[in-house]
Amino acid sequence: MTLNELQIASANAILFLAFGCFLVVAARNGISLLQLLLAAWVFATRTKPGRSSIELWRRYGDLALPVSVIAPAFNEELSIVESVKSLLSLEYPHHEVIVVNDGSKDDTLGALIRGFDMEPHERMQIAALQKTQIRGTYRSRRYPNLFVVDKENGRKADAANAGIGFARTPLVCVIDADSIIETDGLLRAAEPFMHDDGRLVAVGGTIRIANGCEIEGGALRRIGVDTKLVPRFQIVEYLRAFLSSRVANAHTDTLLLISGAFGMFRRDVLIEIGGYRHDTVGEDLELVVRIHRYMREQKREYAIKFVPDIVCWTEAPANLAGLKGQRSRWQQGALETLQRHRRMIFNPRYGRIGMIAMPQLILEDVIGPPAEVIGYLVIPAAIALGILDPMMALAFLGVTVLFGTGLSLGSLALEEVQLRRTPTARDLYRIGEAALLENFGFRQMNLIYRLRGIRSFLRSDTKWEAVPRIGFNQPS
Amino acid sequence: MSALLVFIVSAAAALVMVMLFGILLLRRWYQERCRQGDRANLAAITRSYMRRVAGQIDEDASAKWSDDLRLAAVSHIHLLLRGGERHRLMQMAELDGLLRATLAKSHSWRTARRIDAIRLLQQFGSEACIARLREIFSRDRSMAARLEAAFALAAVHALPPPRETIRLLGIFERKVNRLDRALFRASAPDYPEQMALLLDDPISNEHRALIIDALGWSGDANALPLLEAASRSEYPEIRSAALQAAAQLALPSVEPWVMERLQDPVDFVRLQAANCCASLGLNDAIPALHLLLEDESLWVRLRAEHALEVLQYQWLNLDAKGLLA
Amino acid sequence: MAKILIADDDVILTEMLRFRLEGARHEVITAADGLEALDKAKEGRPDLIILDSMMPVIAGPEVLARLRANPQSAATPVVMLTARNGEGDIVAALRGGANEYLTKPFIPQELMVRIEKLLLSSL
Repeated sequence: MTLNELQIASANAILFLAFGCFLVVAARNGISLLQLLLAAWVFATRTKPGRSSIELWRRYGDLALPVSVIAPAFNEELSIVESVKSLLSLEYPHHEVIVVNDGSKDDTLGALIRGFDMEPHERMQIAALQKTQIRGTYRSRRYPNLFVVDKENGRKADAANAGIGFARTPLVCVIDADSIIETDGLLRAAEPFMHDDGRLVAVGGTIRIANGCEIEGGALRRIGVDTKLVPRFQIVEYLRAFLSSRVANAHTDTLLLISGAFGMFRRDVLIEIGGYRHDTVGEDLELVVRIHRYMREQKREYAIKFVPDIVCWTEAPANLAGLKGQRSRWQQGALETLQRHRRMIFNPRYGRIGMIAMPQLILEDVIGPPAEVIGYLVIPAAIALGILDPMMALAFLGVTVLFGTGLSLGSLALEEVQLRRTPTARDLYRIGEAALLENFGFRQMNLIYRLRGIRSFLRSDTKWEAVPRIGFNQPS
Repeated sequence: MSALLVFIVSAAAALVMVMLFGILLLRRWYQERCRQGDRANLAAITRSYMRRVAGQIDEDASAKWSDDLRLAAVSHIHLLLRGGERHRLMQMAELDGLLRATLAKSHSWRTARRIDAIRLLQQFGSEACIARLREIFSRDRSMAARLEAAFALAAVHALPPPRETIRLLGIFERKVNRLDRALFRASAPDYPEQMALLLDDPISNEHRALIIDALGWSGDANALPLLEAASRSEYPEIRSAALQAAAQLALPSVEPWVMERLQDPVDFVRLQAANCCASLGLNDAIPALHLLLEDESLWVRLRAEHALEVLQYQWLNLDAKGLLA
Repeated sequence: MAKILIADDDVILTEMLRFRLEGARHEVITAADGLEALDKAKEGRPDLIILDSMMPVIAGPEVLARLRANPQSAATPVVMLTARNGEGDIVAALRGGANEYLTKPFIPQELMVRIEKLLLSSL
């Protein structure tokens, strides 16, 4: 009798869990589908940028807001000179390149000094946002728009902050030193400022994966698709993330993330909010969330936009080991940001950021991964207990795979019709193939990495509490 | 039972997906295959047009090339030609009916296609094109298309007088953006007097500054008294615009009133004045700029420092101008 | 009269240059990518090479380096067409042994003048 009752109760619990997981998965898929449809609509009605706008920039160069490109560099001795050369030759009326040598262990600074004929040059820092010491600043005798900051080692956020503090232009573009910027990437990202009447504070752009491409002298010579599967899976992920999610989010004013590999910001706003935070691994997400929070608390009108054009190419982890670190970091960063800004969640004071964007982030990063894991565990259990028809479970699995692949292929179709940056039909096929294969193994691995991220979040959380007690507080 | 249904539905969906993806791949594959042929055709079209432009015999003139391919070729070739040759090329294109194809495209229901057509119409530049551009400019339902047409008209010096432009784009009913400034600058050389007349209207300071800024690009010395008056306006935005315009006009007689602005009570006007002294190469301003090195505003100090550098090393002027804005 | 190799993947530009060069009584051979350019240079023994810096298969600077490494083509005058006006590209072109460079977009007449000058001086 009691045993029977227990059995029924546990069966009910398992069914309940399975149903809950199903709801979460369905909600995520539903949102992704909506985003894809919205993105398709945005792409169908958008006007492609043409030569005429570039002519305009050339003729009235002073209307283009000057930009400082901030490139934090750590141990880049071998490639830094080439990278900086290609940054200097980007197409833009007025841009300055600020390289921040983040206490490299190799001779990055020496390479810069020799390569560009740099000399020490005092320049006032407008805002000291960094937590580490600046060791020196240099200017080039040959390139008036190159400036180098040499500082003690910190995190990327710290290096970017140091650079932002030295920038004197209305716009700053923060990149990774190894990002390969499209020749017209700055123009594309600055274009929304041309139509702007003063509200725009930040612009993001599409980022693609450079693995498999031919790179020469810091510039992209030939686009390719890597033969290995891990980079190809990531191509699919990036297509989904940039061409459907971010386009849709930006269209509905709920964009929360501008990738650290390339982001254009108003300098004064960054300074007002104190730049990037040093104590999170997800500084790029945290920054944009904080901009939203700040502007809404100040009751200022503002806008954050996204250009679907490709602005930059970045080297993705080529194997699972590299991916593991990256994905757990992303997961941990998302949780840290959510925790820090938890009062925005479902808070009508923060408008659609509080009511839509943050809950979406929770669904994606807090509830999503565990729900998926529980699903993987509970469904076999339910089949074993005989409360779930195995055929039904298989059917459910099939639908999930179908949905995931469909969303990826939809994004791929958007890229094919609108951007056209996949070299050949063969490459297109290989991306399509990866879109199907990623459902078997890659997604699950990714899930494990994200769980690791959740674990480090829970651990580091307690570590932070401990920090003040030991008195290990940074020099400020 | 229901599982079977799900299977059937998902199998059908999978089939549809595979088919759609297949179509996408085939389309790409077909286009790739065509590209080889297209290359040969583009080369032949180029040869044919070059012969005709040079007045030589052309045996290919009647060949059957698609309008799209011809248009692609012409819009590229025309960038490589100048003067009489370019003019003759566009005549040939019109004779071949390419203009008609473009005009048809300019009526497409898709804004993106209409904008493509506007860009081509600007290249053709004949009367019929300008008429169509004016029509788009005044009547198109999309603001983006109207703006694009406005810039196309400005590029061929066929923009209507400023008052019409302002009315059609509703510029005085909203805040000014950078594109408006570009458009005004582009139309200033054609209508300097009409621009000046606008200043008599009761308009907001923001719009007044827009006009003053544009006058700098008119290349018309008659604008100088207006600029000088504007430089003493009680509104700093207008004073600043006058300085920007003076820097653009680059006529020596502005020197006294530009230097006067180095002592302006408002920081961004002082900054603009320092800017202007640097672009005009006013060596007489050096002592006053030295005083600005002690200015209370950081931006003015930086700008003054930079202006001094520019004046001392004129060669820096080309590369570093405007970097600090 | 000279034999000139045009190596550029832009058909229209290539064809336009061919038209002008043939009009000036030169013989023209063309290549659409870097590898083809090297082959044509070896077989055709041109008197002058116009080389685009951004080409498929093998990029311009690399083609130039291989041309210079081969004694047969080491002294052939080369005009490099660079896509950007980035100083890096131009320096690389000249350091790699290009005799002249032109930044795109350029006017073909300008190229013609430079070609005639180069041909005269290499006689």
